[in-house]
Amino acid sequence: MAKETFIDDLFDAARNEPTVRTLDSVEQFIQTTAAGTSTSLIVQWLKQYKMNILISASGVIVATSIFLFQGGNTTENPEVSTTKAHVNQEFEEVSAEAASEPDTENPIRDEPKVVTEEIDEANHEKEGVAKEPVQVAQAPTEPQTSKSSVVTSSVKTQTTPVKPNEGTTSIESIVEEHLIVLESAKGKASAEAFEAYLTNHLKSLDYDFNSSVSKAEIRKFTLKLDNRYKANFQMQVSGFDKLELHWDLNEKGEIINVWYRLDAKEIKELDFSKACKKSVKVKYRHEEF
Amino acid sequence: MRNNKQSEFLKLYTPVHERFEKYCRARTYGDYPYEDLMNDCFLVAYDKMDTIKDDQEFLRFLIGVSRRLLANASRKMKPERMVDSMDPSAVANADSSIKVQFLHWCLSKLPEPQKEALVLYEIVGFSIKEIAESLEVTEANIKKRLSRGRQKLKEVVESETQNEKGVKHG
Repeated sequence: MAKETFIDDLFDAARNEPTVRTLDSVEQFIQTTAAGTSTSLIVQWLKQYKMNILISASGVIVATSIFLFQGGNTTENPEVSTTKAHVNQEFEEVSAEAASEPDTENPIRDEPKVVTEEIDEANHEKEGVAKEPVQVAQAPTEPQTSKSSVVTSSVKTQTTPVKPNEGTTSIESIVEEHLIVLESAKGKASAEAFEAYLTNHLKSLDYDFNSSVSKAEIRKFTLKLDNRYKANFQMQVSGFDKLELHWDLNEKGEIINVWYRLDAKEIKELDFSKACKKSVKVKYRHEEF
Repeated sequence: MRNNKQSEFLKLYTPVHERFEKYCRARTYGDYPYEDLMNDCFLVAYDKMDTIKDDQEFLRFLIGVSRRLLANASRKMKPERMVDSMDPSAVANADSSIKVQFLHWCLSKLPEPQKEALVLYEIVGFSIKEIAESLEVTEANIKKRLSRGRQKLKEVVESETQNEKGVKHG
């Protein structure tokens, strides 16, 4: 067969081939994810683990230490509107406080730069805003970490298995698994051992994860070891650019810092503040490490 | 239950579903799960659908978003090809899905601008003018990309044929 005709034949096949993905699956995605279900999941997850939310815009720390939706039930659709006022109020309070605080030394700035830049770049491209540096506030509890007093609340690791409600299992169960990994890895003697342990564990986790979570909710689940002392565990959730879980290790391979970062998109939906549009970082500190 | 916005979105999207799906499959082959790309585009489009007037514009919008997402992804990911080699002589007589897979694989060997132009022209069915508008380049430039793209595609196919023969006779 002449090459030209053969190529035309291939293009004909591509044009005439029926679609693989059905319209129904698109409709389902729109209903369950684009319309906000995964936002609810993230909100519940944040609530469950009482994350410190560190919000920065224009390179200035503007808020921190917001506990989300305290006291509410983890329902499938939390009442965002009723809690918004509460969050906004806290936001304003801490914003004012943070504005008067100097930005100080921060180990998170030692995070792999490439990761930060990628996230920010993606956000900027999507949002169409100017690229600006992003900084992250620092919890004051670790001696090697910071002088910053911006973060005023520390949080305890929730190692007791959480019993999530139906429809909310995906993210929570992953986080739960994640924390179990951290607990189990505490005594590891070296960074290499930790890497090996973590990699192996996450491989199995990945498997379980994919079999138990709808593909529409979670898109990607990867481990990236930037160097011996940092382990970045990235989870992409539909509706958000990236949800990252990070460990920072010291030279002995001990975990000295655990933190999370979440894309800004859902925060915008929750309308915390216009300042949140550009970048939101979520940090979680495990005090025992 | 669907709300109005969801209904509006699906009303805009349904007419272009087939072409958009084919575009995503052709463009992401081996690099990126095409469903992920579609989902990412939906999220952006859902957010901004108020500014889109008709389905033709909607398709161009979706393709524009996917191009940006792919550009980002290519900087972040080191693609692993799903298929390392296929036998073109077998492809000629194969069923449609094998042919499409082979085509996607061959396209993945092309430079991005040529691949983009060929996919939009040959698979999505855009006119040269529409492609030029979407990619914000001149029509002459698109014609050049199409011509070079086809030439390169022929070379890829030929090279594969020779490789396969070499393997069989060697």
